[in-house]
Amino acid sequence: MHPLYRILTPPTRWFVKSSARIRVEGVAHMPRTGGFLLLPNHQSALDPFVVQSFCPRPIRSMTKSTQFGVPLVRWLLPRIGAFPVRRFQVDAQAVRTALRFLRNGEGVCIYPEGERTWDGSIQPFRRGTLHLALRSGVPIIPVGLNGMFDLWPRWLSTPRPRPQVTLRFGEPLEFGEVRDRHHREEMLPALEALLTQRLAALSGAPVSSDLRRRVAEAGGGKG
Amino acid sequence: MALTDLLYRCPTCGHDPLPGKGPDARCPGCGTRFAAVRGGGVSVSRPGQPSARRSALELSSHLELPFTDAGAIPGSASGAEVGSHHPESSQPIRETRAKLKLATGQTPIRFQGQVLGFMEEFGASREGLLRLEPEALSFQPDATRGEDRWPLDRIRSVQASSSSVQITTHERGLVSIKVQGESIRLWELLIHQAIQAVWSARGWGRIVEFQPRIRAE
Repeated sequence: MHPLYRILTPPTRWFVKSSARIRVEGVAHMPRTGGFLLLPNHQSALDPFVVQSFCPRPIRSMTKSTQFGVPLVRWLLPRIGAFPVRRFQVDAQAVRTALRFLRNGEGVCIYPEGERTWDGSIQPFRRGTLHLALRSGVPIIPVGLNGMFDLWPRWLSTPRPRPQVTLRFGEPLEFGEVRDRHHREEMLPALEALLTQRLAALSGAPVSSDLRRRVAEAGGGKG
Repeated sequence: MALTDLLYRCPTCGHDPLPGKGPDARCPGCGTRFAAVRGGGVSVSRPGQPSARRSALELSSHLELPFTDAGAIPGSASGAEVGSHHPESSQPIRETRAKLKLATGQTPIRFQGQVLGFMEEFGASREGLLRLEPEALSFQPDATRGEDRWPLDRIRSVQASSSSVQITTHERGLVSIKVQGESIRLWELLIHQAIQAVWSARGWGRIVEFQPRIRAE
């Protein structure tokens, strides 16, 4: 990882602590070595600052490509671990980059909902992210964020002062490497149901009706 | 962004639109005031009643789009033969002022000798009138006479990105639309609904995902 990542982590933590009363739990669940995939729920534009600065290991974050539009930001983002994804198409390059980092033993963070929630609930997950998780073979760490929606909901232009925020790292989900696409397709409902259950429990956020329906229709909510 | 991006119409009486600014809104129909409060909630004050705190989820679940059933969109092809002419099909479902940018290409993002991915480059922003019709999304720029028009069955993806709605089309690639004075969320949902109506009419099924590409069951 670039030295700037290490240099900027302490001031980012300070910024987060000055914006919210933060509690971090479940750090012991993080693998000490090897690649891993963090899958947090997405409540606020500030989520990446919280996850990245309090994650005990450095992480690469999949970031929407439009963020790279400003030259200074485009220079900075790769140095703090971000890599772009074009959300409006199936982005094979973003998948290749994520897999390269994971196979290189690094941590990658992807927000599986693909965008911030409008109402605080957990939204349906992007199938591409679930495919990537199964294809990678690395431990999948569900991460629950609670309170970030209170801090800065998507529909407000400025954050609100110092809510309680909890960041919970969950127990790793291990599916092994699933190379066959058809096999992955068969496994998607189970992963989606499990991830829904874990993110809801870790974050305390309600599950959106769309996601509930999808899980129920796929029969993945059993057990 | 503003509270009215979430509450695009009054959750109490359905008045459309719900005017407001920043964290506050007031319905001209029933007089109810809405204010964002701590905890991601909204304070709701109806005239003559004490204010009550409601969650964003609870309030937004009471919102209905102008057409709750996709097949009820005027001029939509639901129930009619595919490709048949609908006299009212050029009637807009909704229209608003907007700024629009077209992607002109993609630039690789390289770091430490490797390509991390790509970002899109946009052309100049144009102002004009955005119209959602039962069969197409169109944009009439102020400065020129020509019109941009995207048939709904040629749209490949729809998503809200910060304060814009982005669509991709088979022919023109990525289009970024910033609606002015209306809710981004509303426009995203309306476009979803109109595309679903077209897909239903074509027999293409129920859409389960609008990004990264539209996909039906």
